[in-house]
Amino acid sequence: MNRTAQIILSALLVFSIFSASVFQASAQAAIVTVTAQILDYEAGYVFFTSGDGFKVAPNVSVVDLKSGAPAGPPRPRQYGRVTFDATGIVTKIELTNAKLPADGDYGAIRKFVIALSTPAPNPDLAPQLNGSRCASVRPGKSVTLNITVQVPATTPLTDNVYMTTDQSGWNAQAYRLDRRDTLHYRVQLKLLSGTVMHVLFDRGSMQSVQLARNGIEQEPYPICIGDEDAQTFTQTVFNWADQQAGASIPIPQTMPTPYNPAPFPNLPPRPTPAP
Amino acid sequence: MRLFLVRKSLAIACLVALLGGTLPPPAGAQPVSYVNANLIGANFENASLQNLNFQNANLQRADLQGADLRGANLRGANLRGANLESASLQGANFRGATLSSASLQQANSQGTIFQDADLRGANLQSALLYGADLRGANLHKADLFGANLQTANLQNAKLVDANLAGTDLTGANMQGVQRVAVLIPPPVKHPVAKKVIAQAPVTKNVIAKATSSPAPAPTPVASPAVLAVRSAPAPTPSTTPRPGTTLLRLNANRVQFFYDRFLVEADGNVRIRTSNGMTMSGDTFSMDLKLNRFLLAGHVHMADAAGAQDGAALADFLEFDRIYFVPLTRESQSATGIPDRWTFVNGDFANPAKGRDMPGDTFYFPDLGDAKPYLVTTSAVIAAKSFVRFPGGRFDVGAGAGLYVPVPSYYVNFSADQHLGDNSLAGANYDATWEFAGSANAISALHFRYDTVNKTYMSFEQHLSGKKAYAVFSVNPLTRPSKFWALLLSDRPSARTQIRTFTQLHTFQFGLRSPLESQQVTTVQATQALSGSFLQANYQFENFSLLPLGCYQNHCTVPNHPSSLMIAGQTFDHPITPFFHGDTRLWAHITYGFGFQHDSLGLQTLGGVNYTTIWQHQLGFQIYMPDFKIGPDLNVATKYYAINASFDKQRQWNSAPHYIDTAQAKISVSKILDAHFLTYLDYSVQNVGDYYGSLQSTIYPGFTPVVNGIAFPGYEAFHGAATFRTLSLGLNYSNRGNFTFNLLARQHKDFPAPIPFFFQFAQPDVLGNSTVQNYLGQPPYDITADVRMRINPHMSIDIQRAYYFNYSNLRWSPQFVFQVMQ
Repeated sequence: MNRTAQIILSALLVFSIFSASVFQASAQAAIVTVTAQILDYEAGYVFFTSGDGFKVAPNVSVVDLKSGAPAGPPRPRQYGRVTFDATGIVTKIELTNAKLPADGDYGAIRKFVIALSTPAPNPDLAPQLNGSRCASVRPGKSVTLNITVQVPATTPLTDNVYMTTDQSGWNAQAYRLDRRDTLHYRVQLKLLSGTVMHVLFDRGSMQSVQLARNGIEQEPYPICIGDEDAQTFTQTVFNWADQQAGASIPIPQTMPTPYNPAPFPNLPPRPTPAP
Repeated sequence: MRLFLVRKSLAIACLVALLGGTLPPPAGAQPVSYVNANLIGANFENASLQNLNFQNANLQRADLQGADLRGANLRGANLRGANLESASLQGANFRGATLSSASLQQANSQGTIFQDADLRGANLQSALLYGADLRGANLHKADLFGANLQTANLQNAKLVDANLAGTDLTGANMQGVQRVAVLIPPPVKHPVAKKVIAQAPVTKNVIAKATSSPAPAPTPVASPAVLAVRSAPAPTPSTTPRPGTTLLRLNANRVQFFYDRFLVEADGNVRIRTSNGMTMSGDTFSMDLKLNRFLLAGHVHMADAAGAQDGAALADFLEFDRIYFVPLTRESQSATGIPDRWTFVNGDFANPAKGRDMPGDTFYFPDLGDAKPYLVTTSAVIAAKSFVRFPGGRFDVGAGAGLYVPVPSYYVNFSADQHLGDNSLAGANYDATWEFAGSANAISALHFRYDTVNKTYMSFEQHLSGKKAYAVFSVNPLTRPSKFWALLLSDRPSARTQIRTFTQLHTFQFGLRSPLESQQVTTVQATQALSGSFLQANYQFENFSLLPLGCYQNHCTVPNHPSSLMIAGQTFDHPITPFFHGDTRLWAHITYGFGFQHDSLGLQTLGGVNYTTIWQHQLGFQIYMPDFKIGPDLNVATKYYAINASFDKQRQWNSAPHYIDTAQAKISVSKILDAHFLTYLDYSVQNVGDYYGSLQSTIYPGFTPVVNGIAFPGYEAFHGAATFRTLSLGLNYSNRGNFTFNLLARQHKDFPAPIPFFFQFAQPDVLGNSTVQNYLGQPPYDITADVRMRINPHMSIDIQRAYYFNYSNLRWSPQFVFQVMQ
């Protein structure tokens, strides 16, 4: 009997130890921690930059992530490590101003999002018929843009060719291109994807900016920086504004010189015969 | 016989192209059909060709730019090399047509049938191919940069080596598509680029786009991996933009402007008032000026005449007239409100779309990292897609260094109107521009400048710009005695006509006291575009002195007041040969003009006659050949040599009996060595001759110059005809724009040969550019080195110097040329 009782007691002991560890494990599994950027904290809710709002416990602990010291209420732009209890209530927020790496299973807390209305599809996000020329891109990626421009054969070998853009306030000398050969110049730029810019090419001033093929001013070319590793943009300049067949608008800060019938501007004068 | 006919038709097409395209578009007596017609090189620019039948027609190199081909039948047509830029192709049928190397840039091809068409090497940049039928089409090496291929049918299409950068393939049928792989276009197919392709993250991305459902799930991002950074694309709703320019008046405890990213960030007690009567307040504000959207977060309160609402955050996508709002609603028993998601559509605040999904990045803040703001202040006025004006604050003179100085006001224009940047200032080594006032159509700016001639000085500039006209006025240098007052005016009465005037007054005056010198020049330029060419008239008159004749403190007046008129024409650049050796062909244009030069005091005395008016007429042509490639693989930029060549010749006849011939031949071979290095070898020969017939030796008498006791008898042979031969070797290193190094070595073998200390040395301008052409006596050898470095995200410095191998005792150029570029 004693032996039987010992076996039963031992079995109960083993079961109780097993049960305790299982329950403890399941209790731990109910606690979820994620990192997120704070959008707002008010009225008993904390909002992440995903736009989702979560209920905050009345006795929520708001501390500094590094020191663990109590911190003030969360502010927009701050990052936080946020702990949810099993019922989806936020019980702890650890704040920092430094960007936090993504951590935690966000999918596990989606069920705790508080929103009054039933989610509905957004027709704006359906494919569009007359969309922008630039397709949607994932912004923020560093992309190498190789720009090559074919210039008129009349472009002097020693001339500089520039690119002017709306990104640089149409500064005519914002980006200098490098000569590639007799007819081509090129430049490499590092830009963020999602950038939309308008560009024109010139030879250092808006008086020497490119003209359209029909001699009228060229509308700026739109460039959309996609999310690839590298992109190319090629264009042809047919005419420069200061290289027209007739007289051209003078370059600023120069006054025309008197008419010279000779095509050599620095022709040495012939020696005057000795008397 | 057939070959003869082809050649004949080609010749006719070339002539048609060169003389401006005289083939009439079928506007008046429209033929019923162009079936099997031979229309090589025909000019149909902007022609109305709706529903016409071009089946199996030969339209090689035809100019169909802007043409209306809606509903046209082009089945089996040959459109190789044709220009279809901006053409309307909706409903047109190109089944089985040849469109290789054709340009369809920005063409509207919605629902167009390109089934089994040959589009190899075609330029489809920014083309609208929504719903196009491209089944079985061959798009090998086609450039689809930025094209919209949503819902297009690309079943079994060949996209090998096509450029799909920025292409939207949402909802496209990609079944059976061959190799949607290469996003890196040919010029960067160096080993590094190959490595990128091998990693293939981009390919996956595109394929993911291509196979995603037509309506991508717009729910907030599910993965925490993208919580902290802006990562999901913004939506592009197809709605009517808000009419007029939206003005935002922003106040906060701290407003920061990040110039390099066009971001306005504000924190603490943010208040916003919009031009349509809405007021908002919150804790934090963030606006991307280029994306034209802003975010207000933290204790948000919005109100207009109809009512008010509190919430956690609000994002206004101004571009699309959508406001995404996270309200705290009080519709329940809750005392504090319950979060929800509302979307206000087209300014309808009374009826929010509740619960509607929002774009993933709607409420994301930009990741600013350690970036220092360019300007710090407490308020701003923002005009959507146009400008931002800060009434005061501190701006970073170190452009990233964090050296802040107070400024009473600051204005930044970020519109796409290039005329607000059109300036009338000469180049400078350094220019810091302070735009102190402005609006959507005007900018007032002070320039703080340095150049090696004027040293440090200030300039003033005023810009005005409208839909069709613009004006620029400037005084430069404002703080130096030698001042240039410039006024530039431009008007475009129609899309094909432009009139520009430029007036410049030069005064030499201390402050605004009576000038000691005063000259003026005015140019009136009118340009008229024709169907295959353009005409331009230039009239210029000058007053070399506006002061009464005499000398003023050693500044003596010049009495001349010449004028000139030139009416000139130029044909468009047209191909004059068919393709050869791949995509190479010759191009050409013709120039012609007539006019006069006049000066009542005389322009030239010849044979005892003082010519006060010289009539001139001129004729010229130019032929060039871009990119003749030689190498084992013409698709990999590092594996071929590119040969470029050009030849141009011009003759100008003058009523004073002489004519001037100018001819120039240039040829270069270049090679891209790897991702960073390229090199080229260029040889050019220029002949310039001034011919007077029997008076040649009188006008250009040969003589032997003696310089420092040394005679140079070779110059005796010079009688007005010079030859300039230049051999150039260039090497360029570029590291993604952060660091660039250029080395140019040149050898000149000219006639007349250079004679040290005899010819006047041609001085480059302050930026090292040569301003004089055809100058005699160039140093036989020179080497120029140029280094350009990016010193912060929005500033580069360029340093250049030349070495002349002791020609005329000149080793190095007198000074470094440097320029700060922003």
